[in-house]
Amino acid sequence: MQQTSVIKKQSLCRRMAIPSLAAVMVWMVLNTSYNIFTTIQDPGFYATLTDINWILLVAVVGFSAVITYPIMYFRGASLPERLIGAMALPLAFCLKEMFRATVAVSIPEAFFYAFFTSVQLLLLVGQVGLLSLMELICRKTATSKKGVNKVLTPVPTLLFPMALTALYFILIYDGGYAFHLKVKMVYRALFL
Amino acid sequence: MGSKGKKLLPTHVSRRDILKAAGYATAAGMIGSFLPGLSLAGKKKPNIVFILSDDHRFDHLGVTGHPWIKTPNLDRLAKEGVRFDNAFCTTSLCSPSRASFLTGQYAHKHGVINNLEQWNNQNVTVLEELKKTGYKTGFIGKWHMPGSLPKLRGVDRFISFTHKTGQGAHFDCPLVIDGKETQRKGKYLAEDLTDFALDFIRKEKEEPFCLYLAHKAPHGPFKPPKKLADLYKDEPIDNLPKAAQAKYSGMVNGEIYGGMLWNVEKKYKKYCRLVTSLDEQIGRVLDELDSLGLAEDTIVIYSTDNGYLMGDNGHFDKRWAYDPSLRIPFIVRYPAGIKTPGRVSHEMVLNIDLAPTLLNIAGQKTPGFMDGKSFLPMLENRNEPLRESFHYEFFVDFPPYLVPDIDAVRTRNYLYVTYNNSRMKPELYDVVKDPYSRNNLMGTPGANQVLAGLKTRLDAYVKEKRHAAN
Repeated sequence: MQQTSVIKKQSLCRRMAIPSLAAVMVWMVLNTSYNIFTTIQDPGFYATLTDINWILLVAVVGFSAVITYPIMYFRGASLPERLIGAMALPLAFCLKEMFRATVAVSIPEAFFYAFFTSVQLLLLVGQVGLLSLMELICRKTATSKKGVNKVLTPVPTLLFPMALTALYFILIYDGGYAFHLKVKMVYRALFL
Repeated sequence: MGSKGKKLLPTHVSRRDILKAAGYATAAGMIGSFLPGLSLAGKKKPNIVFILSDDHRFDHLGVTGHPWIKTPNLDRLAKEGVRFDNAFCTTSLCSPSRASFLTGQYAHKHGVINNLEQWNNQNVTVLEELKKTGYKTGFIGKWHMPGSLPKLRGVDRFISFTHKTGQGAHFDCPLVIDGKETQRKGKYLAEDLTDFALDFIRKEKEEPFCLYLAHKAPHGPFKPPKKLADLYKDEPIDNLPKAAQAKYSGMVNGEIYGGMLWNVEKKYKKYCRLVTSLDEQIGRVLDELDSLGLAEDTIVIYSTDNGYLMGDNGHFDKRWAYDPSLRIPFIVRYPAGIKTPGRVSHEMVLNIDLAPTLLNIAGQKTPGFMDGKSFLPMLENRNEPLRESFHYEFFVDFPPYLVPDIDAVRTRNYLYVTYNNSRMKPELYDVVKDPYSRNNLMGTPGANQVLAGLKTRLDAYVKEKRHAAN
């Protein structure tokens, strides 16, 4: 996955740190506002604000790479930089979940929860699929801007359908219940 | 024997003899009130039908004042029997609570502490004990304890399911009928189980029987029968806490509960439809008892394994030690035995009380291994308090549920909750003023006045629990 030579490489701060940190910051603000909104007493006001906030949270946590990845790509970030930058927010979310889990379980169990249970896996696997798709879209856009590289290479082309298949099993097949049972089985094998 | 010898039957009865006999009779009556099995149980052994549902919230019955849910058959049961409005589970989770109903024991004793720990085949069930007294016994429905189905001792008919690790499915749920797995395509589970229950009743009607009918409904995923698709569609949900008013589950601390995610209102109404469909099936059982002429001598008990949080304190599901999670519907009908039917008893009744009570009704004493107490005196409307408080315990049931180990004490007036191995702080609720456990009183001026007594009670419970565990 190589970038086209027509893209000018900008500073590390501009090409990677700002886009990824901006996404993390927006998530933190939305997370905080959500928790504040849950203290509102009026049910109607509460429901409106939390619903809007919730949709924005899902959009930012799950889909911020739609914006940040192309920014990084066209500011000349390398593939590892783009991956780190785009995964910063999902990883931050998982770490927050890990901390939340320590309220009830040990740190190894909290780690298992944060990276191997349905919601977090949905996010991580979804992110892999999204990044593959964004890579292909960025390449296509760059090619149309007189870049020379191939758009379709094996890794992103295969990763995208693989991620979709995994998402199907995690979320849709049997309403996610079959996958949930597998997670429980693994947990039992590891910790009980 | 000479002429001065005692006659077997006296030919002359003096006034003194009458007084003596009356004295004996009075004494026997007094003893009877202390010894279980000598009053209600003194009658012919009644048939027993115990109906257990899953996740039925305590206030989701017509008779409890829900604004629109329809449960005519459960309402009828309450009208003809005794409804306990202070009934609780000792662990708010399916497997532990189900094992508690069966054994009369706390989870720390029967060992099914969460949905991950297996049933111990050494456990003695109420069905096994009833079988010894001559009952025909049937277990029909949800077993839902980890591992394969056990070979339950003392059970003549055992129909259950292992589908989805025992969780089952509302439709097309394969059943294990006396050990043989059978496909049930096109069947609605609650109806299918009721069909088997009715067969059992018809077959065993000549002898005292005990039917343990355990439903999946209204447990999620919420899939009611299609014929009820439009029921409650336009009803408001302003009876629920604000967290349930949000379209997407508005939960605390970023908690996400898949069961209520995406359109809480739609899922909630499906839950209510499942309650109504379950009620219909209960109606079929009551009708059958009527038509067979068995209703008078059959004790019918309805309850559920645990309550359900509908956004209370920002939570959905159960597990947490808040009243809507702890409290369960509990209704007993026994026309031949209950005094002044239609009553509401305020005594604190627990899931672990079922087994001792059924044994007492069958004329047996409560076995020493059981933790529960018989609520027989409440059925007879005797003024005997059952308990002043009870111990609630919860063991981590992970993943993905992030609820810590809990020890709590619930009295008539307060709920004191402590979390073990967790940074969560203890909580205190005035359950009389705050029946949904929404206002934590910890740190308020009045809290200290009641805390000392609650802590002492809880310490004693925890000590007993540790002793039992050792």
